[in-house]
This record gives sequence, structure tokens and C-alpha cells, in this order.
Amino acid sequence: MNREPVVLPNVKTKITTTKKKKKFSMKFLTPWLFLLPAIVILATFLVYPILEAFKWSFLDYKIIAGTGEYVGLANFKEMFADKYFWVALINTLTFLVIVLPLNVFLPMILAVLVNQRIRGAGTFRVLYYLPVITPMVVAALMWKMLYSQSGIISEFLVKLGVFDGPTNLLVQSSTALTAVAAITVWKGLGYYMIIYLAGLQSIPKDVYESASIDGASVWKQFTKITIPMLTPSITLVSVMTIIAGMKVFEEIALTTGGGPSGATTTLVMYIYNKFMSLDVSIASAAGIVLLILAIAASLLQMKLTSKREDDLRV
Amino acid sequence: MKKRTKTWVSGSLAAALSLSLIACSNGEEDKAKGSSKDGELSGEVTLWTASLAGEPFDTYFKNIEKDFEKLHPKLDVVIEDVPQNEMEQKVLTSLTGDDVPDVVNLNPHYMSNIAAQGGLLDLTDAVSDETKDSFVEGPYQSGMYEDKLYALPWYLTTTVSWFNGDAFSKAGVSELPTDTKGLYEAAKKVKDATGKPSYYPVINDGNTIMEKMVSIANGTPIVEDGKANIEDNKDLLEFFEATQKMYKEGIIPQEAAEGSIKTGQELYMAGNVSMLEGGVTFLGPIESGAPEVYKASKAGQPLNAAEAPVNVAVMNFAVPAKTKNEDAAVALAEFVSNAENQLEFAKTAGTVLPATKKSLEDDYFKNPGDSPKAFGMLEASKSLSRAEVLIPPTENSADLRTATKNIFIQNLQGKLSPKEALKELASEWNKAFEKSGEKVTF
Repeated sequence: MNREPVVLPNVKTKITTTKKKKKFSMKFLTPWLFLLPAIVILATFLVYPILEAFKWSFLDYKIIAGTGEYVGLANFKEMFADKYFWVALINTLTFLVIVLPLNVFLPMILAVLVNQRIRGAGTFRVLYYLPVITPMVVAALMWKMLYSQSGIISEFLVKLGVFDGPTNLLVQSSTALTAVAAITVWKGLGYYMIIYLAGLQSIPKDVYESASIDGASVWKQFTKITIPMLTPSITLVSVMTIIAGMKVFEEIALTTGGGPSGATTTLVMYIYNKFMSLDVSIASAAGIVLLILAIAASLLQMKLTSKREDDLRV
Repeated sequence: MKKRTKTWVSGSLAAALSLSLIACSNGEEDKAKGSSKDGELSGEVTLWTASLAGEPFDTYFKNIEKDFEKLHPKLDVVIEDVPQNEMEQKVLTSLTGDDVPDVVNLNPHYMSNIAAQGGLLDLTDAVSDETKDSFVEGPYQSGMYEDKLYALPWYLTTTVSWFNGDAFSKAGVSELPTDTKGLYEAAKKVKDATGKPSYYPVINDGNTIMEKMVSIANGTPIVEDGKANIEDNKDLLEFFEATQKMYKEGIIPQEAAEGSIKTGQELYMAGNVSMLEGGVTFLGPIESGAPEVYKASKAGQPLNAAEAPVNVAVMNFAVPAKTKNEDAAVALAEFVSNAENQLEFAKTAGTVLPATKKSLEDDYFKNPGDSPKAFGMLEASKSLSRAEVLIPPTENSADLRTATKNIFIQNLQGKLSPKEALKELASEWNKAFEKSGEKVTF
């Protein structure tokens, strides 16, 4: 009886309190510790450069001297008065208009095809994925040869009667942007196909079986089951394409260098050219415009597709 | 416990700050290490060359390193090569950080861009009059920006014409043209005989077209006191008309719209072009890549009137303002660009000319041999008498070149009429000069 002193409840209470506090603190700290490396990296390589670019866009910044005078909106005014900026902006939007539908639908069709139980489906998956792992330098050189005046594409188009004589698509102002966009689509095909494949494999098979029993055709199944149920994948691919399309650089730099006469100069090429000629304030101003456009386009796309998802749920 | 979390967070922050402070203090230490004491040069001095890796250049630069270190035993010379197409990017990155080279090989246009931002050391008083006088005037001027010397000329190439002798014989063309009309006629004959495009106008980033325009204008300034003077120039109009016509008729290949000399080189190697203008270095890859075409190659004077000025492309040495070893950097730049070393370099490269008066007197340049490359060297030394830096370094050079490239291609492809192209070009140049406030004449 003596072993039940009044002290015990106190000790118990004490222990309980300590445990609770310990749990609370670890709960609070653990996620932050896991996030810390990512936060540090993002802050250093993403947030800080964006803030710096924002600052430089309001200064007449001399990058080598590391100093700049505040000029207000003068850089934006100068940039908007530059006809090459508008050419670059229009080229970027045109590039997106070409690439977006192709990147959304072509990989989807491929994914549906390679998702069938047919012989060699695995080989096809690997083949379509090959361009993704091909270095852009190699891909660009290969496409430059294919597009050349004496290349196979020119010969094919002449035979089809599209052109009167041998034509290099990369050096014609009217075709250069589409030719580069084709390279981008070819390169991304396998990557987006994998995303769609993952989406397709999450669709329950019994949905298709029920549809078949109800007499739905393959096309009906594709439009009424596959596409709606792939909406999350479509959203993901669209947003990724928009962001990648807005910052397209490598393929252009390696194939056309922005030419001929600026026909393939996109916003990122414009920024790069301005930066390399040490006009960093204008480059920063253009970078801010690009950032705003990318955010706006992604938000719009996400809103449209989430609305569609809601409609489907209803 | 909340207190403990706070301690944790503040501890981490303090550690991160300390690390960055340590990083900063290392830079300061380095700076101190590079200074010279008691008049003797000491420490480390780094020199960047552009696309000169591999033999025979490795041996040449090893000898330069050894010789300079013999003169200054306390000095450690490091020579690094940077690919030409990455040079501007690397220079810019290094100048905005702390890891700058002490001496760097630049072209005059990028040099002026960096000098305008205070990125280069003013060498006007750092270099002796004797050294200054040792250089050929034109190349020396290419190192000047706003009356100050920012770079010492190293090696040069002057423009010569290259043509495929076999294709010309087939077409019955025995002489190189010396005006635009002759250029069209000769190029058409070669195209008709070979069935392939024959003339490739090198555009590059627009600079070669600007230089070509100065040559064609032959003494009439194309820019006067920062104002374009090209709209009423009949010779320029004739050139713009002829190139547009040649592109339309397939005499100029479509790839010319891409502009680079590299593409011209590839087409020439494959026998898809028979005539273009470039430096002697042009033949380098052709000798190894297409020996038959190399053997058939012939050199001549640029495709302009005999007395017209031709461009000299200069590579020079500049010293970044952030150098950690100023005295040693200047001494090394002077050493590498002295007459003896420049002559040796020209012999090693085999396709360039030195920028010093004394080395040009060497018999090597008068009797270079009988290879196509040697004939090119001979033509290049002949044209040196009328060669100069046709476009002076200006702050707005990037804007001028971009506009020139874009508008010339629009003219080439018929998107603009030749008259419209010249008008548009004049307007773009004037805008660039208004923006920079430069009052140059060339």
C-alpha cells in the first residue's frame, strides 16, 4: 500500500508531458530537416536568381562592374520598343501552338498502341524512348543532315510535289520554326508516351470489358473512356510542354542559331543573345516577361483541365 | 524544446554564414598571393588561348611557359585552352566571379564590349612605347577603345579568295572577279558547268557582311559620325541586288542563309560550293577532311577592286581588370606577343600572320612554299598592305551585327527588295548609334 504514494501520479504526469513535448518537436522538425536540402538548393538556384533578375530589370546594370543605376521601367520600355523582342515573343507562341497539340496527342496514340498485347510491344517502347536519351547535339546534327538541301526530307518533299526544287527547311523563314518544332516533338515523344502508359495502366480493365459488352466500338472506348480517364496525364503533359516550349533553346541554338533572320529566335534565344552582348538589364526584363507568361499559361491550362475533371466527376 | 529548435535553426544558419565567409576570405588570400614583392614577379599567372589545343600548339605553349618562367623563376605560368565558341561565355562567367584569368585571347569586338563595362585593364601606360611601336598599325588600333589601349595584337588573318581550280577550269573561268558584276558572271558560269551552287557569301554573325560593305564602298564611309551612309550607295545596292539574284537562281546555296563560315567550309569540302572569301585558316580542315579538294584549291585576292581596303581579323591579348597579378599579366602578354614569339607562332600554325613589323619581314612570309596553304599565305601577305580593321570596336557592335545579319538574309531570300534592305539597315544602325551615342566613322 505504501507503494502507491502520491508521488507516482506526478511522475507519470511528468513522463507523459515530456513524451508529448518530444513528439511534438520531432514532428515539427523532421519534415523541415528533410526539406532543408531542397529549400537550400531551390533558394540558391531558383529564388535568388529570379530576385536578382527582377532587381536587374529595374537597373542599368553593368554585370562586370557589378553596379547599376536605377532606371525604373526604362528597360521594359526599351524592350517593348524592340521589334526583335516581338518577333521572339511571336515565335515562342507559334512554337507552342505547333508543339502543344502534337505533344499531347501523338504520345497518347503511341502509348495506346504499345499498351496492346501485341508481339514486340516492348521493343517499340524502347525504340520510341531512344530519342529521349539521345544527346541533343547528336540529334541536332542528325536532323541538320536530314533537312539539308540534298537530304532525304528535301528529296521526299520534292517527290510529293510540295517544293519545286531541293529545299532546306531549316534555312527557309517560312518553314524553319516548324522544322525545329518537329525535332522537339520527336525528342519528347518517348518521354510523354511513358507518362501516358502509366496513366493507361491505372485504368481498370473491367471498364473496357463492360463497354465491350455494351457494344461500344474501339473509337467510342477511346474517346469516352481512355481520353477522359487520362485527363490527369493530359494535364501533366500539357503543363510540361508549355513550360518546356517556353524555354526551348538547345535545339534552336544547335540547328538554326535563331535564324534565318530571326525566324526561329524565341524568347530564351533573345534573352541569351542580349545577355551575351552584356545587355543584362534587357535580358532580365525579358526573363521576367517569360516567367509571367509561363506562370499564366500553366495556371490557365491547369484551371481548364481541372474544370474538365470536375465536369467528369459530376 | 521550442528553444532547442530555435538553437538548432540559428546554429545551422550560423554555420552556413561561416562557410560563406570562409569562401570569401579564400578569395582575398588568393589575391594577396598573386602580388609581386621587391620588384620581382612572383605567384601564378594564367593565360587563356582560344581553340589552340593539341599539337603542334601544345609544344609551342609549353616552350612559352618554360621560357617565361626562366626569365621569372618565382612565377608559375599556367596556359589553358578554351574552345573558341565557348570563349565569350567563359570570359563573362569568370569576370562576374572571382576566378579570372590574368591574360585572355579575345577578338576586338568582344574586347570593346567588356572594356566598355570596365572589365579590362587599361594598358596605355602599362606598356612601353617600344612595344607599342613594334606592332603593325591596323592590328594595333584594333586593341584601342575610346583612345585607350586595352589589348595587344597577337596574330592575324587577312581575307583572301578561295576557289576550286578544277571547277573553274571546267567552267572556263581563268581569273577571279574583281567587282560585283564579274562575281555574278563567273559564279553563274561555274554553276552552269558544275550543276551545283558556286558562291557562298560568308555572313557569320553579320560582321563579315559589314566588312564586305566597307570593301565594296571602297573609301566612301558607310557610317559617318555615327550616321549610316548606305542608302544612296550604288555599289552596295548592286551587291545586294546581285546576291539576291544569285540566291534565287541557285548560284548561292540555301545554306548561305545560315551564314557561318563552317557551313561554307563543309559545302566547299563536299564540292557543293566553288568560291568564297575567308582567312588562310579556312584551308585547315579541308587539308585533312577532303585532300582532293585541298589539292584543287587556289587562292587569290579578295573579290573587290585591287585598291579596295580588305579586312584584317585580329586575335589579341587583354588583361582582365580583376587580375590578381597585374604586373606579371602585362609582362606575359608582352612576352607572348613579342616579334620572336609571334613569328614562331605563325610558323607553328602555318595559316596566320604575325602582328609585329619585324616578324613580317622574315623570309618565311615571302617564300612560303608551293602548297595551296602557302599560296594562301602569300596572297594574305600581299593583301596585308591594304588590310585594316574595317569595323572599329564599338559598344553597340552586337546590335549592328544582329541587324546586318538579319536584314542581309531577308534581302538574300527576297523578303525585302535590295533598296528596302539598305533603307532598313540604315535605320537599324542609326537606332543603335543613337542608343550608344557613339560618333564613329568607318
